[in-house]
Order: sequence, then structure tokens, then C-alpha cells
Amino acid sequence: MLRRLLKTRFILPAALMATVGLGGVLSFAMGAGAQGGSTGSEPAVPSQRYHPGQFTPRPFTAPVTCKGSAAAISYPGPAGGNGSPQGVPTICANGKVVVYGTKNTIKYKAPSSVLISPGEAVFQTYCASCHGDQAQGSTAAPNIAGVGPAAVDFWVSTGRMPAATPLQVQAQQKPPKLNPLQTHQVAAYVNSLYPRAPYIPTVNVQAANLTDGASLFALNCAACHTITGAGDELAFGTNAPTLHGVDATQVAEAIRTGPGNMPWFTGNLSDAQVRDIVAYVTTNIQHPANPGGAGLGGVGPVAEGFVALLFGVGIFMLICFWIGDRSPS
Amino acid sequence: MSETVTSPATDDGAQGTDGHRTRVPVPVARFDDPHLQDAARHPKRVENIVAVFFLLGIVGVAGFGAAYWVNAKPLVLALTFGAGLFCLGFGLTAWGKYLMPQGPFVEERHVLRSNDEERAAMSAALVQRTDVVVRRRKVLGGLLGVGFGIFGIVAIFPLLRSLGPVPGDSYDTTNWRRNSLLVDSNGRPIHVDDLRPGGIVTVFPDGYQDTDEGQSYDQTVLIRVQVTPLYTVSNPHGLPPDQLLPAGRETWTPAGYVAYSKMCTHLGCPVGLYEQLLELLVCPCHQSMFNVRNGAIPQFGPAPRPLPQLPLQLDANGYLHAQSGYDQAVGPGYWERTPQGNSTA
Repeated sequence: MLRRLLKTRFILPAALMATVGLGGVLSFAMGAGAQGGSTGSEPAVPSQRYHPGQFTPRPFTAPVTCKGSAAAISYPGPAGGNGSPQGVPTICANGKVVVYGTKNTIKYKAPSSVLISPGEAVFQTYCASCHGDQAQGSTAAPNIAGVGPAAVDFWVSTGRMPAATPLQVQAQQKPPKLNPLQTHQVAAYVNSLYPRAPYIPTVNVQAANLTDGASLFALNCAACHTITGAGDELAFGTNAPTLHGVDATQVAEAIRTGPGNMPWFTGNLSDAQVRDIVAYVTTNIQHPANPGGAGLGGVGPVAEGFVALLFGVGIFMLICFWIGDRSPS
Repeated sequence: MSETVTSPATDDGAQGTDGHRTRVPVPVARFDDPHLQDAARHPKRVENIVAVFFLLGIVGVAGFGAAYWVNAKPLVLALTFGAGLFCLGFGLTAWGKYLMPQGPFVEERHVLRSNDEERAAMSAALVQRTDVVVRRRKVLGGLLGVGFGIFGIVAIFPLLRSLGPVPGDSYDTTNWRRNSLLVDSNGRPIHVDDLRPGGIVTVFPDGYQDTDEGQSYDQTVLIRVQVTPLYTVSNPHGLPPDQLLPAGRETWTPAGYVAYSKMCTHLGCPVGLYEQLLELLVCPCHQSMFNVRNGAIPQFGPAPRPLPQLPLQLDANGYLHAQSGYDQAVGPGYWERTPQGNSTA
């Protein structure tokens, strides 16, 4: 049976197709694996400007007077400014938790102060070995005092922290190690060391304008994360992660805190614009309508070309062989 | 007169008395010729298979009609249409390959060569007619030549006039001028407090953010670099030379802000990827990487030149302006571009 199969005229084109198909699938799998896994235990190339321990809390331009309720807090900055958290409300001296933002766009809330002492225990267990017991940093990890609870919540809830190894170029997203309560406790403790915003956001995606969100996404985000949110490899072992598998709060935190190599989108994006982008990501990016057919992972022309050439052209080639083949006489 | 039937293989046509050739009848293929049978060994089975494919094809194309009528998704339309036509075509091909007599069939013919007298007479007639025939067609040939000649000349006309305006020196300058206000894509001016260190925003000269030129070659990335400001000649922190701006740009970067043209000097893609810790601007098209601390000198990739830098200044209210336009043409190189730049803004 096998001998008869090998003697047919289709064996050569079929073998070619199988080789190309296998090679393509393997390369996609390895590319996808490189996206998700962190390789490269060697330190970054000399142009890496990031030195552990250099990360100092950034002073802000003007202090804010604490008032009785959140609505009375004003943001320093240019008149008519878009309310970016450049001037940051701190936790007030009377210990009251501060909420800022608006219900229509994004509401930023600091974690409750009752979480601080259990948070210290969680921090000493999971974080202090690299970040130091006062979060001051070490040779293995940066100083995170003053990053704000939103940054802590983002890194821990996406599973990037606790990092599997401090030697990797970029911490990758993985199943989170701390449950949501522990995450908020750690955020509360880190915030108590050096209280700073941005606080943990709650985004009102219902009120969002998806059209604005789409154009803002294309202008600011698509360069690194690609227009389908599939993520991309960048320079020197870093990568822009995929936007699938994150929720609205994490997207807003990433935009406002600029984790890792991602820029800080603060003053140039108002809360309404961040809300629009978050809504666009959680709807059109994560649940694409794909009116043109199978999305093939949103990778783009390479995947589509591969499928078209392998299956389309390949099958046509086999059919042409069959049509022109000599009939049994 | 009646002809005699002779064996066709050996006779090449007997001459009749009136000078015409006689046609010798060729034998007809016999109906029990094995070459007339169906090509398939089991024609009944093949016929069943082809019938199944035709039924699938009917279902497919009818399904396409129904899907089209109810506005089904394009995937459904494509699958039904493709599968239906494929099955019909496959069945048709299989019918032709396996259920038709494949031959080979040999058809006997009489000898085709004319006899010698006919050949001589034909040659004589051709030579005799040659002069008359060609001479009669000289007028037509001439007219045809004139027509094609004019067409050849006219075909060059689009190349002379319809290739679009010559760019001239329009690529040399942008709309950035002395004291141009930096605005973002919504027309909002950029204040010095707007960006945190590590932030990036795309800016345009005021009034041009919605124009074609704004979107193409006025676009500029404004970056606020991390902790230490940028230094050129004075180097109090002892930074290595590859982290210093070129000389003469001491006043170009107020408050840690630096602005570069967004058009990649390789092939013009917008360079929007900023990695804030590596302080690299990466172009998404061919992965040219520009170091923002030393004047956007390419560290990797096919870009041949650094990105042109826009000198910045702050006004009394803290808003960012351009000191002047770019000191060279932005974007990829072109033939008339001079090494030191043509910009006069």
C-alpha cells in the first residue's frame, strides 16, 4: 500500500506541502512561545538604562491641600488641564483614604488602610527578598517605594510579580501568585511606605466612546501592541505583550503607570480618553468581530499568506497534477 | 466510374482518367475496440462517487444562495460557495477522466502530399501573382505605418505630463517655524508639566494637526527622558560619549524634553515605539532603533541617518514651542537631498 502511494505522481508535491506546512507551523509555535516565555538569562545590552536601585520616588510639582471630601481636591497643573494625575493627591495626614476622578470616567481609589498590616506580612514573605524589607531595592530589583498602589496592583495581579527569576530582561505575564485580597494588601503596604498616586482605577466602560478609543489606540498603542492587540517583539529581548487576557483595570493601570519599557501616558491622555481606550481594548480588541473570516490570531499578513499559499496554492497544484495526469487505460 | 476498394495502408491514391484523385475510404473504428471503454476499472463505483460529489455541489451552491439571502457571515458564504463549486468541478473532472473513452484512437488518413504536377502549377501561379498582390497593398501598408507611428509618439505623452508635479524643494522644509506652538492631535498645546519622565506624545505645529502635511512630514515625537537631563558638551555626570547630544544643541532640550521627527530616515514609517527604560525609539517597519539621548543616532537597523531633532523652548506660561524648524530635510533620503540639509525655516 505504501509502495503504491510512493509510486503516484502526487508524492512529490504532497511531500513539499507537508514540509512547508510543518515548517510554518513550527515557526509559528516557536514565535508564539518566544512571545510568552522569557528567555535570555544574560543581562540586557549596555544601552539598557535601567539600573536596579536607581529607581527613586519622583517628587511632584505641587502639593495638594487635603479637604474633607474627594470632590474638593483640585489638581495642580495648567488651567484647563485635562486632569492628569501629574499633581498627585496624597493620603492625608488624618489618615483618610482619598478617592479622585469622576464616576463618568475613571475613579481612582487607594486601598483601605486596614490592609496595611496584613500587607506587610505578605510583602515580607514574597517581595522583600528582592525588593528589600523597606522596598528600597537591591541589586536584583528596583526601589518601588513611591510607585503608587496602581503599579503594585498591575504587576502583581497580572502575575509578573513575584518574578520567577530576577535575571530576566522582561517579566512576563503568568498566572498570578497572590489572590486579589493579598494583592490589595501588598499595594496598601507599599503605598503606606511612601504614599503616592496613581491609585487603583475603576473604569466606567459603559460611558465610553468607542470611536475615539479606536483612533486613540491607533495613534498611541498600535505601534507597539499592533493594531489587533496581538503584541510584538521589540528591542533587545523585550516585547510588548498581547492585550488578550487582561481586564479593564489592568489596562488602565498600565496606561497610567507605564510599566517597564511602556511609556507613561499621563498628561497627554485625559481620564475620558483613557476610559475610551480601555473600552476599545476590552471590546473590539479582545472580542474582535472578524467579519472577514477566521482571525488567525490577529498576526497579520504573514499568517494569512501562509494559509493562502499552503492550502490555496498547494491544493490547486495538486488538483492540476490530478487533472493532467494520465488516466489508467 | 466506380472505384475499387484497396488496402489503405499501401495505396497512395490511384489516378482517375479525368485527372482527379480518388479518395480511398478509411476504416471506421469498430465498436468493440478496447480503447472505447471507460477509463475506470470500476465505472459503476466511479459513477456513484461522482454522483455524490454532484449532490454535495448542489447542496453547496443552493446553500450559498440561502446564506446570501439571509445575510449570513462571510465565512459561511465563502464555505458554501467554495465547497459547492469545488464539488461540481471535481465531479466534472472525474467524469471526464474516468467515465469517458480515453483512447488512443488512430484514424487512418490518405496520403496528404500533392502530386508533382499540382505542385509545379502552384509555384508558377504564386510567382505570377506576386507583383500584383504586393503592389496593390502598398497604400494600405503606408497608412498603417503612419497610424502606428503616430501612436508611438502619442504613447510618450503621459510620461511627459501626467506623472504628477515635480516635488522640487517641497520636501526640504516642514511647517515648523520659529516659535511654532507644539500641539497634540487634538490641537491641545503641550505644557511642561504634561508628561512625566518616560512619556511620549505625537505633536504637530499649531494649526497643522489635521492636514495631510501634518500627518505626513510635520509629525514629531516629543519625549521626556528619564531622570537625568540630556547633556551635550558639558558632561557633569561623566556619561559615555554615546549618551551625549551632538555639540551645539545645549539649549534644545528644556526640562528633559526632546523632540525628533517621527518620519523614519529609512523609508518614512512613523517611529512610534518608545521603550522608556532603554530610551530607544524603534521603527515598527524594519526595526531601526534610535537612541534618544544622543540625537537619535541609529543603533540598529537599516536607517542611514539620525532622526532630525527639533529644538525646543519654553514660553513664560510653560508651554513648549519650537525654536526653529528642522535643520535638515526630514524622512528618507532622495536624490536632490544635500548632506547638510536644505531646510531654510
